[in-house]
Amino acid sequence: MEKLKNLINHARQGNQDAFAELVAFYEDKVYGLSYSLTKNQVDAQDLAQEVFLQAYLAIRNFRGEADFGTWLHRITVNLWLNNHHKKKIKPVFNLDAPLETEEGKMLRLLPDSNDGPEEITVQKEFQRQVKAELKNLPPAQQTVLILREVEGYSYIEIAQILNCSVGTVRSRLNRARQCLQKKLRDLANNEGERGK
Amino acid sequence: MKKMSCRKTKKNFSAFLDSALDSQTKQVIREHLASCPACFKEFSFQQKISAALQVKENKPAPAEFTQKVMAQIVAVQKLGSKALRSQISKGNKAFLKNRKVSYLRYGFAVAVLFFLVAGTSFGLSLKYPQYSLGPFKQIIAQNKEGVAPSIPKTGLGENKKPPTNISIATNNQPKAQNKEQPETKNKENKGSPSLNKSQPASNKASGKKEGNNDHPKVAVITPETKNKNASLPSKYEPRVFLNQPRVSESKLYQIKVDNVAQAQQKIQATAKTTGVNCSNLGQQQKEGKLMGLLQIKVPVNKTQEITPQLLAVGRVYDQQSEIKDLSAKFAEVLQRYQNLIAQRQNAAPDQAKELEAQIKELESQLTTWDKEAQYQVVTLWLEE
Repeated sequence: MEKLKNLINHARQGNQDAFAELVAFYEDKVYGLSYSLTKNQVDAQDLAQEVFLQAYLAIRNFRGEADFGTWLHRITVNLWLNNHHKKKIKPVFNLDAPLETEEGKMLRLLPDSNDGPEEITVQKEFQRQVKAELKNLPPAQQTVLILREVEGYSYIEIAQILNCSVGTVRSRLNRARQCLQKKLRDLANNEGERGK
Repeated sequence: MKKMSCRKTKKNFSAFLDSALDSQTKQVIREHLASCPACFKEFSFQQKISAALQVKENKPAPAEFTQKVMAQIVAVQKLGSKALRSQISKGNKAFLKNRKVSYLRYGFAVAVLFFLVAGTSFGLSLKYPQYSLGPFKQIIAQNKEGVAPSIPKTGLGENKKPPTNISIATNNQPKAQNKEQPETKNKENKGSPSLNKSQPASNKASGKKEGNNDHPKVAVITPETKNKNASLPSKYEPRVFLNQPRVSESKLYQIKVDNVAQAQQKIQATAKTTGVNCSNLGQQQKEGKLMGLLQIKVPVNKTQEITPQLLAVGRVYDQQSEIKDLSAKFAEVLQRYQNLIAQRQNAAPDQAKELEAQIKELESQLTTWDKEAQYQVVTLWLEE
């Protein structure tokens, strides 16, 4: 902990070696969130690199009030949300996204190559469905869910990252969960109807 | 204890899941769930979703990530990151939003427009000297004397002395000559600052005719820059990139086939005969059905010819495409690249060497994007 503080202080004074050590320490954390948000390696790498570049340029403004990792995640989320708006108009194609057919949505999942009990396969497929549907939520809802469920941040930390009130976090999470639940139910109903 | 309605209970599910309720409310919800099967079922589903989301994919950062980040930081610093710094200080400090400074964009757009207009008119005047006016025509005529003495010397600037600070090199030598060109140029630079004579001479030797200069390469060198160039440590010449839209397109075709293995073989054979790169991404079995995935890089100008041949293996029942516009990124890096080239012109020999390394790095990135835009990635999903 003390070592990290020292590194941050040195990096704030423009020491590149110290910043490089910070990058090495936090790269998995930042890349992990970047991947959760972008869902592909190329964009995740671009985003994570951009995060560290922005962090380097702004590290003097880091006052140490929040955890450095949380601060990096804050940059990650905001860069992603900002870029997401720019990319909005572009048609995005994802192998995991459900396929829209005349009979409703159909999952285009690559079959699991691991042999195992059927239950595990069902669970894994459900996880994939959940993550695929998560991508279809509005960016703000995706973000709050990822920060809470995947990254395990508290409401207060999420509020700090998103620069909003705890009440907003609570209501946004509620809406996001309900929305995701509805999407998954609709998907299950469509599959059920097709199976008949 | 007060009972809670189903509606209110459901509203509290999210906070209940996160243990973000006071103990009394939690107890009321627990009791409601114990007595209401419908709410219990819904809450269980929420729990299941939450558990599924919490399964974190272990995605470590790619190899040499730190080195890449630090290289990027060094590059930005050396470029003079004033623009980026001002972007951050001007923007929302709390959020560090990735806003581009709009005046940079406008400035860049104006610069691009200027270069396009200037480049086009200069290029046209090279190709059609008879229509060119003023000093340009004179310069061209002077430079091409050795190649085509028959250039008609009519026009407004005919009798004016050509400016001595401009030289023109054309790319119309055969390949062997082209290889030697940078060296020849350096020799020229060390020589007289007036119009170079060696270029027409080499043109003469190549026996090329005037009409063959398809894509003339134009170099404008002033005596000052000539002297600077002469002192440069290496003979490196930056590449010229056109700032045009660069779009990389990926397509996914889902095809029903009789036999996946045979279809894969057929596609690979087609790829081989048409000379395109084909990667077999493997086969998977699902519910007794075999599926295969192939990826082919088709040159953009050959998609209409090759893609139908690839799709002929079966019945296409779905297709999707993704378009990745590299233009903005390309333009941004190109601007950096051009800035570096400009800096290099006036740099001291030591600094010039360093700048050259950065220029080469950016050039390799630009070349990669340039190549990327030349291919369409076609993914074929074969299903029995």
